[in-house]
Amino acid sequence: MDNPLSSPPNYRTLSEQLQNHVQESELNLRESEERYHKMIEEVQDYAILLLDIDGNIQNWNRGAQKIKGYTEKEIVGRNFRVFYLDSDREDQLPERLINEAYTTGRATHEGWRLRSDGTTFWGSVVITGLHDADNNIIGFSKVTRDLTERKLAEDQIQEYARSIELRNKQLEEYAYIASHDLQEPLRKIQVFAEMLHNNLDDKEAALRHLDRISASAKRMSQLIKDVLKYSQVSVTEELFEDVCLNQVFEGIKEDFDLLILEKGVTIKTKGLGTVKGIPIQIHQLFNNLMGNAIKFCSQTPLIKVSAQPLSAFMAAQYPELRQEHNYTIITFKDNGQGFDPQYADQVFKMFKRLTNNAGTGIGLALCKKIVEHHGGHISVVSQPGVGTTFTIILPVD
Amino acid sequence: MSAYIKNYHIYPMAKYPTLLLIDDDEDDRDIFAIALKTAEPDAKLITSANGPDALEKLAEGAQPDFIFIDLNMPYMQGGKCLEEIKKIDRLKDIPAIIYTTSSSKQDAEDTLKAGASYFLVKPTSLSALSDILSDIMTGKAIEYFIEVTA
Repeated sequence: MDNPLSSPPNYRTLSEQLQNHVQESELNLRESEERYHKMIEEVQDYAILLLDIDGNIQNWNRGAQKIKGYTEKEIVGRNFRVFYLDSDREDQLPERLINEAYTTGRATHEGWRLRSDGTTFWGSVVITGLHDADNNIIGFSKVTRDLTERKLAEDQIQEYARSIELRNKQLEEYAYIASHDLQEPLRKIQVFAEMLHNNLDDKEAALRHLDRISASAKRMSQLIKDVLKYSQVSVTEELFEDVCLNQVFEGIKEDFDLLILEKGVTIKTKGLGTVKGIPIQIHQLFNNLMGNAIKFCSQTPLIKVSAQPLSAFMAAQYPELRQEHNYTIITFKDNGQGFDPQYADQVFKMFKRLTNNAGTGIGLALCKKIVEHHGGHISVVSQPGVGTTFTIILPVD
Repeated sequence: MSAYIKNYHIYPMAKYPTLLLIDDDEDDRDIFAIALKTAEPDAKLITSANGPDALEKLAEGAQPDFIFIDLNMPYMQGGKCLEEIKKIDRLKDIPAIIYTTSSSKQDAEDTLKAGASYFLVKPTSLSALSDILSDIMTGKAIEYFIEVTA
């Protein structure tokens, strides 16, 4: 079209031409706006919406419907807080994001969001402030992508990395065992065999060396058995089930009946209830604790075991516990020899023996591993000459 | 062969040295005594089953020329025992030798840093131990080195 201003000065024509031009421009603008709206509306992979200054939803697109599940009719006019989990709403996450976008012009966030049917998706959100000609904020654009698949894949990779890390740590532990503790009896067997070889004529000395060889071999065998038990804790395929602790303790009293009788041990149990666990491991756990308590008992041994539900307040002190589970806290208390509190962390380490006893030094390490495999927690306090108290937290559901 | 790594090159040599062995393992104390008899029949051996007991013996005036310390011991770990000994003025220059089943590089580094003269992995042969003791006592234990594992 010709420039109307370059046409002959016919005012009527000029006015018509101008009018036409304005009309055409308006039409172009409307078409462009419609195309733009259409584009936003048709985008399926992004929820693109307009929020007013208070976070109320002004428009809706197909992506939003696809990702969040609401129809335009259901959602326009409602506040965007509706997409957030209860816990995030309590933490005022939506308000914080709006505030951030208000003050800095932009806010980004990734997290679980709610669909209309109550299911969740992992949303990646960008909220951007919209300004008028005077630079006042008049609302916000909010673009959300559903990255649930990516999030799940990432979680899976992380879980995989964690399990590899755990396996590596276990391999390191076994390498350590092989290089240290299994070497010890082997070395002794070699040295005593050499001594035997040098003393074949001295029957008495020879027998002494043979006894020591045999004792070392026995110790080696016990070590290997214990290490195997330890290594099998986390590879077991057994299912977790309700384990009645009273039954467990009845079994353990039978395991130790001769020693209990011989040393005059009194065992009192109270309100033990059930835990969710692998029966054989729970048995092993308390069997080891009982074995220790009896081994290091006093003149009048008394062992008290009690349990009570773990309160939410207490549970918060243990970050490794999971919020969705209920736990019981079991106290295993003896009045035995006890030990210096400075060793409280060391007792759970493999092969750390605090005294010269016949043990292999794996017992309490095994206890810790079992408890951790059940997602629980074990700790100990002790006082020499007074006694030792183990505190064990295990899930009940 | 099982050998050892060293911190110092030259040791004070005593004609008939006195050795202190701190080891909770009775078998190992016996093995050490027998090997020492072969290496130097006139050497004197003091033994102790744990750190606190050894420190008591030292406090009472025992004056060894060499101190051998096991690492994994009840009551007091060997590393701690070494530290305590190095705090005693009269004993701080006496060669302290870590004598252990462990062949951990970390243990070796830690104890050498804490002032141990040698990190000796308990040999699997009596005659090897006897040779090493002889070399340590005569100050010849310069050429040996150890294979430590991570």
